[in-house]
Amino acid sequence: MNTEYTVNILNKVTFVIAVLTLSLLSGPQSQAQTTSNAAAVTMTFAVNSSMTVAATPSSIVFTPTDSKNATASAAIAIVTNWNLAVGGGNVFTVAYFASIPAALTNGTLNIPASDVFASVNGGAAAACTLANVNVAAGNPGAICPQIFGGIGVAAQGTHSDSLLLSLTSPTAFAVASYSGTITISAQAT
Amino acid sequence: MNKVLSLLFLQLLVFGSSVSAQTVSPSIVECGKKCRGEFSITNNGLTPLAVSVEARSFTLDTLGHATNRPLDPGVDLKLEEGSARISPKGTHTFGYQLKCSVPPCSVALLSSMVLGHTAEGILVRVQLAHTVYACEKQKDCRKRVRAAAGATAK
Repeated sequence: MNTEYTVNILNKVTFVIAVLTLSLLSGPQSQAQTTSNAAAVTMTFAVNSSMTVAATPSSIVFTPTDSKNATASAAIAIVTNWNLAVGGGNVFTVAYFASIPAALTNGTLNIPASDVFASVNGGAAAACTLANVNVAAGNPGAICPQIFGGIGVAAQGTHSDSLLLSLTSPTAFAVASYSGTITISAQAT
Repeated sequence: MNKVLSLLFLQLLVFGSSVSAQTVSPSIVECGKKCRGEFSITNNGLTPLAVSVEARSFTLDTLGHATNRPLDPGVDLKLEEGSARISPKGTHTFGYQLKCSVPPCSVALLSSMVLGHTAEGILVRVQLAHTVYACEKQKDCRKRVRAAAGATAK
């Protein structure tokens, strides 16, 4: 009888200890849930307008086909990409040479811009002698046919073009190593 | 046309590693008679890039084409730097102050970058414009300049 009574007491004490232990363990969690504040995180994201131009290859060489003509080693692939604040604006890409009489030179002998022909996207080749200064180009008289003229473009866009250069002279090219620089210029207005 | 695009695609595949793109941001800004601004040039390529900056005044035609010329006498532009060297995948910010005594003033800040090098043949130089419209009041300056030029698009 005494033993049974003791076992009952021990069971009850064990049960009470277990309940207390569980309540102690769960206490801090329930307290955290009831006292935490809602945290507000402010997020900002500013995107500026931008324009990207990729041109490849970065240099080309000419191979003579005869004494008066030469073709470029590759067409220049030009990709114009823009992200403007609003649609309806204009994006222009042009190519030009810094010098009209010496688009290519060896320092003494020159090849004028009128001997440099450009074909845009496989179109008819035309001399780089235009005077209308579309976009940032700053040298009227040495501008190639317009590469890209986007009028009333969407706010975001990409345009891919190719520019194949060739040389044609009314007289045979003088023997020399010529070099020059062509500028691919892009502007949003 | 399809052949040209196919060749372009092939060329991009072959020369893919040498593709070098440059970015200007922002491309267009509006400001009042006196403004302090900045623009960034990002070198998306894998080689360092030398950048030089020059300024031009420009006039728009009815299509929005810009005709550039040396800076007008009424434009006082101070560039904090005229050139910089940008590391691969790097960005450089150019700051400037512009005072326009006879508004509106339309100014293009032209950043030029030579991509390659060659002893013979032609180098390719990329030029990107940061376009600034300065008016008596900043708001809708670009819109007013374009309207005055008779530009049909927005």
